[in-house]
Amino acid sequence: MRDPLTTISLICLTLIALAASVWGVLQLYGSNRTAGTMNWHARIATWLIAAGSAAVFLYRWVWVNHAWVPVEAHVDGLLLIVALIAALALYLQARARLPGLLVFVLPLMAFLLAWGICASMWTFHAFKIHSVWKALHLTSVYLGSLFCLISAVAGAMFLLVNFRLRHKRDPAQVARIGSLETIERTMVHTAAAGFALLTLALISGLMLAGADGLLRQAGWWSSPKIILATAVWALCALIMNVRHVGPFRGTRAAALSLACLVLLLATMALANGMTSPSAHPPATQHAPLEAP
Amino acid sequence: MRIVMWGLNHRTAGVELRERLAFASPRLEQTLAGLRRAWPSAEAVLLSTCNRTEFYLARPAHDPPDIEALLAFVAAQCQVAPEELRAASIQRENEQALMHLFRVACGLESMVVGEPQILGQIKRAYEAAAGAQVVGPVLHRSFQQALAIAKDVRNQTGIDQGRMSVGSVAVDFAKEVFDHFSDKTVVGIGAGDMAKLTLQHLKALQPARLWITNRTPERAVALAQRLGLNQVQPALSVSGTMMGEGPGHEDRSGSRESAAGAAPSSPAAGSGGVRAWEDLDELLVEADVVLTSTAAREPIITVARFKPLTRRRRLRPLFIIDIALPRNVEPAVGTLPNVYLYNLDDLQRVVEANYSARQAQAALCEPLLAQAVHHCMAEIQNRDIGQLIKALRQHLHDLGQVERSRTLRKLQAMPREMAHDQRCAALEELLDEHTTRLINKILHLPLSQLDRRKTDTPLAFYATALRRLFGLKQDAEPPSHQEHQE
Repeated sequence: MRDPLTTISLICLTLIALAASVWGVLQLYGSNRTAGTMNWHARIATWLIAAGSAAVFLYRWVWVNHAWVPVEAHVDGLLLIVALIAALALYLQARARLPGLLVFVLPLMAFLLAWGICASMWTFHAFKIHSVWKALHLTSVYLGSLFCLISAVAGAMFLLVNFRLRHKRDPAQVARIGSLETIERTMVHTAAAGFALLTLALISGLMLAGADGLLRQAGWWSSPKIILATAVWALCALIMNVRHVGPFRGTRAAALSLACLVLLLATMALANGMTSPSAHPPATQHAPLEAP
Repeated sequence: MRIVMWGLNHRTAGVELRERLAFASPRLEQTLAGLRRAWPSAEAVLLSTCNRTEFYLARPAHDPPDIEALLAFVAAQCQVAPEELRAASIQRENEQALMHLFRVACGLESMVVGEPQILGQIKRAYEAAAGAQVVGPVLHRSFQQALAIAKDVRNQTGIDQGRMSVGSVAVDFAKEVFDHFSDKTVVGIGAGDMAKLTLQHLKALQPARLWITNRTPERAVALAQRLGLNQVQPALSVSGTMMGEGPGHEDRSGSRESAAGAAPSSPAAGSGGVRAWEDLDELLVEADVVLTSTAAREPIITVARFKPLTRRRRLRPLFIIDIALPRNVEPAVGTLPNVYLYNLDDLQRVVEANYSARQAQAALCEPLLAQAVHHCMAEIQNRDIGQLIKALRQHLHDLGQVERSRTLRKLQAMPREMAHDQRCAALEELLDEHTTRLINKILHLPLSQLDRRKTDTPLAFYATALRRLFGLKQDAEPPSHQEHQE
């Protein structure tokens, strides 16, 4: 259900995320001494976004949707992802010694929140959740996406730290982001979590498609959404095994995680567009993965 | 109170003289006790580091010791000719002495500008003096202020930012690659002095294994012993290992990565030793950090040699520090994936940039220090003035009490059967006498200082001070009795 309060809240959260992103990026090129300030601002902004997104998400679930499933529309899914990304990033930054993580997560959150504004104002449509499989599919898709997004963030961090090391920038003179080893470990572990959840999403999606009889149609596997979703799943598999697949290690794994992000966003956009009845021809309208 | 600083440092004195003036415990305590015996009214702190020996004294303005007396005391303590000391010494008084102390605390007078160790050394010197009970309120205030301003200046200007040695810069870079070193292998190729210094920095990271290899094994063994590696007796073994195998060494095939995330079975610090030169390829497979410092004229690690090993390494990140001249590692090795190669120029460039940055920051410290000195000096002087006023009041009260007792006695001795007029006249006379005596007593000492026969008295200064203190005009007639009453 469209709700003006949701849109207004999303606009406010987007502005906070954008301002904190710009501030963080500017501080990223400052000296190591500014890292504390950078973290302080980024942490406050992330806490605000986590709390705000969670509050709007709960508000929509309890007062707007009136449904037993919390994710009734794409905007709910985006709010859930943003709240969880913010919470996970705060946890990882504190526990995994990644002082620069929030600066990289904030632009991503700004993007997702801006997408949430579009999904709330212009492209709003409600999911048709008619079974537990559908609920499981949606949950695994959104949670899997969450871990893939963090993996991509770690990939971007890896590339920047690698660039600094290649160009022999004095670590004492630049804001610290984290060691390559920690960043790679975060990238691999989050990709592994994303892989497990996306596997669940693919299986539940196939079950749904089978129940709808879509798998009996010729060329069902050539649907763009299925190809993109499978590519994301395969990339996650590759990234999580990168320590055992030597040639893809290092910057290549980081680039792969970013490619995974692009494909994931494309899949989500495509899936979100495909559920709109007027947006696509009938052949792709009832694609097996109806959710993002 | 006057604050006096006398001392010498690395700029004014050679290492031989500084050695003779080094005051380590228990000599430090003995010297402080000697200072207390010689000048009980003076406060003292003795700062003695490898680069400087400085005495900070605070004493009443006209009390001993002066600089010459202090110099003679130090010469006697250290058995050095006073002339030799005089030539190498620096001396400062009051604001300049405080400024010097603050500059030393901030590291502006150090050999490596902004180095933080001096702060701890000053703190220990201050505590030692306080323990010997030779620190009074002035030096307490000065040293506490020095420690506080040094922290403020470091926080505000970042003068202590950036490493100043090749080894520590290399460690900083290594920390950008690896999160922890408890499961890492460090390999030192070469056994020279530079290798020793840098390996000391790397050993401080507590790696799981630290191997040293050298074409001349004896030198490698000597270096391993100096680094305190756990196997110390050289013994050639069949596998080519010169010293015992360290824990976790069982897998050289490159499959160590499978256990990379886990802690080694027993990550004992100091594990490692010397390996044969023929083991170099194996070492390159095992290594996470490599330090090269041999005198070889041709590169030891070339692309042709290293590239085949990358498959066995499974492209694990490798951090190579090449501090040899000519270089031991072919520059193209640094372009291979997951290999981070730093040569002496790269590290030296960072050190020089940090040095320049610190010099620039040093200029920013001066206004902060000047303000702090002014503030501290004002506090010390205010405290002096406060005590002076208190003492003056007490002195005048004492004089007043003496005269009051005398006048009371006279009053009680006065006959009671006197007529009223007579009694009034006698009382008036007694009051005048009391007033005159009191004024004379108060003015006796100040006016006795204006004796023209004393040639060493600063008469003009005293005269000016009296005029200012009592509001007297130049060449003015003394105020008449009537004016005074008004």
